[in-house]
Amino acid sequence: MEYISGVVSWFENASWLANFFGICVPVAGVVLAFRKWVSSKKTTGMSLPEVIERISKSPNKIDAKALGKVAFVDDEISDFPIAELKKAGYQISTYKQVSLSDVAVLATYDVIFLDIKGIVKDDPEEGGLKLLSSLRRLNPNQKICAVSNKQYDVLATKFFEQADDVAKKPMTAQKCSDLIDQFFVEKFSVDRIEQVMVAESNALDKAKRNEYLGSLSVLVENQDDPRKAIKLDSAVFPKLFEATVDLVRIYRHVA
Amino acid sequence: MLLKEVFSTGSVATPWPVSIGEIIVSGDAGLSKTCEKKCKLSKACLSTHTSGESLCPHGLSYFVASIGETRIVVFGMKGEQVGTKISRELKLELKGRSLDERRFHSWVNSLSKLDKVIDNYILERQSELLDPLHDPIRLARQLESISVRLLDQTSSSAVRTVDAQLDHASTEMKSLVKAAGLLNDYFDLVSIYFNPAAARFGRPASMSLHGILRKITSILSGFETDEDGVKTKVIFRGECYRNFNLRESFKIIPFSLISNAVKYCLSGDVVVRLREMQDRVEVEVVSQGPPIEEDEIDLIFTKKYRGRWSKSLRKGEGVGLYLAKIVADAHDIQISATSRRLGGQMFGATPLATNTFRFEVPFQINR
Repeated sequence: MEYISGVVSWFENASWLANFFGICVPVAGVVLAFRKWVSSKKTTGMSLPEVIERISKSPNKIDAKALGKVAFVDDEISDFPIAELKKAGYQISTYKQVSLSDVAVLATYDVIFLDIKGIVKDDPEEGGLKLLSSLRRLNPNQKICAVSNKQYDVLATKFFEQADDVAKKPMTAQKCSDLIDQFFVEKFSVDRIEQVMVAESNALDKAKRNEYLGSLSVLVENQDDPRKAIKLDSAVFPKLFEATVDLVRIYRHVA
Repeated sequence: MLLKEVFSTGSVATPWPVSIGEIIVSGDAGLSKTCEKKCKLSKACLSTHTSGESLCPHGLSYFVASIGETRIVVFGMKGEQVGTKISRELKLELKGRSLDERRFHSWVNSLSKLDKVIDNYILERQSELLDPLHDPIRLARQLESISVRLLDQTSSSAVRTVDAQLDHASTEMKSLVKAAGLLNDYFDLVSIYFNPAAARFGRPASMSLHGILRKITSILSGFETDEDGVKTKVIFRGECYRNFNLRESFKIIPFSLISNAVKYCLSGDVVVRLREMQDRVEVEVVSQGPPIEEDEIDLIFTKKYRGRWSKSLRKGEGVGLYLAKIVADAHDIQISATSRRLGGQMFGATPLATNTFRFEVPFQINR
């Protein structure tokens, strides 16, 4: 009681300004610290290693056929065993002709089989090469198979060299599924994704990294579209962005 | 690179005396008196490899640059290195022949642009000319795929591999599968011939070398008949059931070596040997045919070169071994050849020799 009466008399003796600062400053400090603590709890709901651990410990294994999306872009779709691949459970989309402005949609596929000639309305001769370069820039993690019999053409060399693999047409179901399976194994490798994310996120400054990791931890808890919700500039960090999209998809798939 | 040929027509004017490749063009300034008198037979400046300006033994400047593999030398000029302390006679001779590095390089740049324009034009025309190949390649692949399916349907279910199925197939079926396979292999050769970069296309995939050799030997065995109607057999010996990381183009190496051996085989069979070593496998293609002279061992792998003894025996273009070398280089594989004469044995007027082509594939290739 003596202490309390001592404090009361101290306040009574002090001026109104000293009373104001003496009370408000500590209260404001406590409120701010509490808010910071609450927000930090919110953004670090689940860290990257925790997400990886949850995936690896999940009893559900990655079903690449159900998770992965494959696109065939070719003016002669009959050169591919589409019906057989669909029957085998692959998620297949086909495009006979596209426009260079469709590149953002095409970049969302995990695997793409791409012809060089006659597939781009805006540029029938070299459209495939331009499309491939744009896809590489937008989504460096996408697996691209250059499918063309024009390997004899020196002018098509860049097209074949930029692709992850090369195939001739017509393709058999066996060859197609072997290629797709191999691409899925590489693209959905959680170890590889983790490596990319750790290495690339080190290039971000602290504030951006916190914001980005915060958005990741939120995304694994909800069902929002990762492409819209990841707090990261995909044009500046396309590799990190796409690796994060893949990680979120895998997490949701197995969790 | 057609610059040399363009200049040799005389239709392109050069401001200075210049040597392009082996061609000398006097240019608007004409040859200097010193060059004409003192270096009439051979010009020291033309054999130098130092780029930029240098001084010749007679005190005149020359400028060297390269465009692609062609060396360009502008000679008999007055550059900065000539200096001012020169004889009156030389001063008079060099009047109107001043040149500095900046002007020289700007001229070389314009030539380089011309060279690129010519190259691009050739590539575009080549691309256009080869365009009709697109559909035949597609059809050949369809044909091969259908022939293999037919072979599978007509074979007993116990026989699984194509080469084993071929062993039991009818003559017509054998010919169909072999011809379709050969057609595709020839198209692959054509692709690499016109675009050597194609040898590196695609990623290496796990393949059975034994399987590749078995298939090629079974396709090529007895397929080609020589002028006497005798079919050359290809015998495959050895085993290796390891898989190797190889590009699709790899098969061109054994295909070219074996088809070359079949083509020039003058006596006996062609033997393909596969031998597993500690960390690699060794492949040997052995046949008896025209000798390859010592000085030709490297030359036979160059484009269009044909061995002295072989060119009189068979028609050919001299591209098979050249293509095998391109693909081998793409895989960091060395192909070696040896030719040992068989005493005094002759085939008509041609001495007989045992020719061996050999290459090794490390287990860790492309890993």
